[in-house]
Amino acid sequence: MTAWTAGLGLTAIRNALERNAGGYVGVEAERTLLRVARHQTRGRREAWSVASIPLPMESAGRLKETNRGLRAATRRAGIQKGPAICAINSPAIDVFPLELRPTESESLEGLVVAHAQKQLGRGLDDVVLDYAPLPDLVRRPGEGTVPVIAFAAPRELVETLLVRIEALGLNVVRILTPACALAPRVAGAEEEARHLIIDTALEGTSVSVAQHGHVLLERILPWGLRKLAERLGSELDLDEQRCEEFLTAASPSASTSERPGDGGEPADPMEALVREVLAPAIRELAREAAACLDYCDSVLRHVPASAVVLVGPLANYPTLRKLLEAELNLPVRCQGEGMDLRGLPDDSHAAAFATAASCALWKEEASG
Amino acid sequence: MTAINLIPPDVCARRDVRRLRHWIVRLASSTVVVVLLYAGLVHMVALRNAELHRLTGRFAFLQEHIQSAERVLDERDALKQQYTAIALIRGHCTAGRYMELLGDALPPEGYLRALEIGSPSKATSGQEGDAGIDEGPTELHIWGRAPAHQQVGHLMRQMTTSRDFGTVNLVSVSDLADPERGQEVEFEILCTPGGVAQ
Repeated sequence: MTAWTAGLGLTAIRNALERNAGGYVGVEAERTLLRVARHQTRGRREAWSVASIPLPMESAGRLKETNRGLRAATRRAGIQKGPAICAINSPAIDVFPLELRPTESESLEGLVVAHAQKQLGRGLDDVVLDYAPLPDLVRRPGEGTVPVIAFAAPRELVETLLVRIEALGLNVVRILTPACALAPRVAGAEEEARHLIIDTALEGTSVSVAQHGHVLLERILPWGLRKLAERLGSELDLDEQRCEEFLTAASPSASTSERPGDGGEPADPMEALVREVLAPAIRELAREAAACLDYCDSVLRHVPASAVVLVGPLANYPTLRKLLEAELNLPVRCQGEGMDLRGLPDDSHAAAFATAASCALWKEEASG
Repeated sequence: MTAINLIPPDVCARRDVRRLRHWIVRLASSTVVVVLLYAGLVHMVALRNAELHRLTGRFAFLQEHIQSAERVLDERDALKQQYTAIALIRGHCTAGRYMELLGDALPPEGYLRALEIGSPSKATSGQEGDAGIDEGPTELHIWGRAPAHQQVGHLMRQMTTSRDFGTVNLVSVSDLADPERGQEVEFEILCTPGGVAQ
């Protein structure tokens, strides 16, 4: 909001227009894919409309045609125009915790900007920066510093995605990270329990620690379903598309094919092969998750993590769940099991669209 | 809830301006439509008012004519009364008077069957404007019966000598062969009232 528009008293009008009584369209955005979800209440019945919309890399000349195709796809999915909340799942977003000591001469905002410049090692002209102080509940008592979590996204990424999403007829009113969207929807978020949230998307994987609905720390790793599928495809000499389908489809056989008393090793040789290929990546993911938990314990009030909430299209793959459980020694809830998503079907949708659905259920007034 | 927003502030501002422009365009187009509708409405009201004025003028004009026509009719009625009064003063007899005269002239056995008083307007006809003005009768047509021809002759003599009758002509006299009434004659006399030339 500029001084000019603020001077016209448009802030209140804009807020009133954007606070849509019909709810938001939730979007989880990546460079090449949008996952869109909309929640509607019809009488006592709650209904969800969800859609995965690939974003083709179009030339400038075919932009209009591409946008028309995207709009048609959105309409077909039953998602109408309206205000939207978007979570960007991209490793290009830097998330870093800060311990700041604001004074009368230096405001918290000024300190965040100064520390962000140091952290990023460059100016903030091409970066969009925002931050959130952590609540008193998680701070260590007696310390004079203010723990802050700062988010820095490349301006180019944000603007590109805004243009693409607005081409669908959606008016993006807020851009978050996956952890910010998911944290308030984790079942029991109001309780003391600390949760580890893992959102494995197509291009990135968000690992975060959440407590009381607040994000304490988040890291977005530069690998996701696509990279795992590529690795699987190259190792096993398979088509990448087939590998993606294999990893995203919930496979009951994979979860039940273990021989009892055999150290969790799968009976299916194919499954064993896949497990062998994916294990290093999943171990890396577990290490990152453990590091996040350790950092929170070292800086904030010590609260043991109670569970891992696993969402994203890869969450349907049972081997990932088992490997994570083994590595982190924590119960892993997946397929929407650990989430309060108001009637989102408890199948593969619940996991794949959990972030978009959380955005759709965002409560603007609760954020103050 | 970690309520961050990674939309660049200048993008927000641009969108606000764009949205404001959009609303202004909407408002302007709505205003144009309302103004056009209002202008149309005003034009229609003006047309109706002009029509109303025209009809009011016409109504006043016709009412004036109706009043003058009523005045003419009133004058006509007054003149008619005056004409009747003048005719009475001139001595024109009325039908009752003629009946009385003929009753005196007829012998006791005779009787009148019909009396027709002819007036000049009825005779000439077609001048309705003077229809109600009594200018006096011009001829009298009398039908009656008498016991014999002598009584008819007596009646003719009485009428001829009377000043109230002018020229008296016997049109016809015929015997009636009625067994119940005996030897009666039926006569028809045409005469003019006294003072009227034949």
